[in-house]
Amino acid sequence: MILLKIKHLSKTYSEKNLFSRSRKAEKKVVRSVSLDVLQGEILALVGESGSGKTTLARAVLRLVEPSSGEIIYRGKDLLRLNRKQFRPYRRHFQMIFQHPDRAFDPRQTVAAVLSEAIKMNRNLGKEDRTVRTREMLELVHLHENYLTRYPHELSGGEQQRLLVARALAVTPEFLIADEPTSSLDAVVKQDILNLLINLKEKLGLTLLFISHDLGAVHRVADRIAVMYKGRIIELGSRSDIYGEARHPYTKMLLHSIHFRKNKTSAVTEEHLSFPETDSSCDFAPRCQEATEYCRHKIPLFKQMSPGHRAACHFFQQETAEQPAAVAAGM
Amino acid sequence: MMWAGRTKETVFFKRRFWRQFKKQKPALICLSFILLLGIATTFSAYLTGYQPDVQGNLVTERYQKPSLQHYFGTDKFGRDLFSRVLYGGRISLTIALSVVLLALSIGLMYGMIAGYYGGIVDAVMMRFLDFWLAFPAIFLIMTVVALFRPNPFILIVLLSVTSWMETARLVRAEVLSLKSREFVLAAKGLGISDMQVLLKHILPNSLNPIFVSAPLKVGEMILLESALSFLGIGVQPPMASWGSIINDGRDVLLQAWWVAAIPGLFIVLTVLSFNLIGEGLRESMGIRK
Repeated sequence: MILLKIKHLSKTYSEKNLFSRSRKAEKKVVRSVSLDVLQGEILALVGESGSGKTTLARAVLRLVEPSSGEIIYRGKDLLRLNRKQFRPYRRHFQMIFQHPDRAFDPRQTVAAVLSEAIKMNRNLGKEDRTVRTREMLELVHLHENYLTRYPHELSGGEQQRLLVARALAVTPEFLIADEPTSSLDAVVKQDILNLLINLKEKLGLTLLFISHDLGAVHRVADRIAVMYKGRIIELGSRSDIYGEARHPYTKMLLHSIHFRKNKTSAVTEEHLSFPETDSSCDFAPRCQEATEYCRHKIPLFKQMSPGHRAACHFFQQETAEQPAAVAAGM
Repeated sequence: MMWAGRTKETVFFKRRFWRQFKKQKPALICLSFILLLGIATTFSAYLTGYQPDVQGNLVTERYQKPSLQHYFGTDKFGRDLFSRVLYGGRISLTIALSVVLLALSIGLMYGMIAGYYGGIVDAVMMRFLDFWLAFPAIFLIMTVVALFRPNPFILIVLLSVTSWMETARLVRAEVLSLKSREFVLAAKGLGISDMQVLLKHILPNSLNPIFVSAPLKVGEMILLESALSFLGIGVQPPMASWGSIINDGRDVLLQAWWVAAIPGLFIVLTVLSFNLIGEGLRESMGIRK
């Protein structure tokens, strides 16, 4: 069952001032992303820094306002609601921010952080809220003593747990974890991953797991979407991606787990500054196998096998051309 | 339930602040001086038997040197300067504090609205602010004074509407940087309304620079009010303010130095104290220059 259907979602930043809106300074960060999030799955979103993962996540939650597209939830396009109409929906979708040390108001104690989130459930009385605060702490294995402390007095792992607790305090259906482990050491990282998996099972959550850590992704993800320069270039189940990756970029990412310094695929300044275009494969400048064809035509997002899609010309020539595909569910 | 309220956390914040502030020796000394001055000017009636506006015997009591009878001497009307400095200080301090309170409130609201709404609202508001900054305040004050007989109330309003801009800029910059911070996004993400986010998360976190600038502004306003009164376009006789007392002593600097020197000393000490308190606040809040 599809929980959330993202259709052609785009986010473009443009330089604006009072008098003009210049076209040149436009930066397309998320480019026509279509993705179905299935109920109860852990969908991983991987890609290098600057590929637009975080912006995509924030756009889905409307923490940044998407430029165009649709987000269908329970048959309703969330992007057609105005900010006020959307607010009640917010508690269904929560996000764990990338930097736990920046995600708390420095003036709030742990108790204040949690009770603020719990207050979003308007039907709870004061007593219930107190009970619930304790429950939330217990849920993420934090001791009650922490209630009077400030988040900055906690360790990185504890802050991350508190973030999870706050997000879950509003009883969401869908949780986005934005690089939840990137600031943590190996042992704590395992703890957090286990916690997320357990909570997902226990509470029946759907999880979007954003990461560039393919090891962690392999542990948690049911499906994986690979993002490059604002587009999703490959999507498939865990075995599809780890076993039969099609897109050269995905292969390169997987390769980099084993070989930290890979000469041919090393990212250079030049690669990153290469402008995104609408007339060629974005990856062509970095792709070893790129041909003239790749530099002149955008690859379609083609089905490789059921549930497995990739946007690469090398796997498309034999099939007839189809309109730009929408990533279908399983 | 103790922990659930907001009071405890603010208490904690205050405690941490005090711990730092207590280390600021110069600021503490200055704060005591200001407090003492505040008490003395408020209860001046109990400290001196003289009335500030009552003239003495013009033959025997003019320009007396400071003595046990008249601590700060007397002026050309034989008025007791000690009482005049105290009552004048009350006027000067009241005007300065009111102006700062009013200017900070205006600046806070203005800056918050501009910073939070951004876009066109911000651009228009900031251009208006630039216009207001470029407006020669002294001419505005002189014009109004020429039209109406200046009283402290008019002075307070005039000084406030010409001195809120700096605060507005400060607050705007602060709000602008706060509103894209992750904790503000997180609060919005929880479904908290814009107003609540603004009042609960952005406002409290943008106050520190204002607290620091407030004492500096008080000093500034004391100087400005004194200057205006000295020029005769501020507080009008017979009402005393430090500036107008200096004006009284202007012509007799060599013969009766105390008339101008004593209120001048008070202005210097008071302004210096407010500046050092501001410095101490800045240090203890950990705000860089």
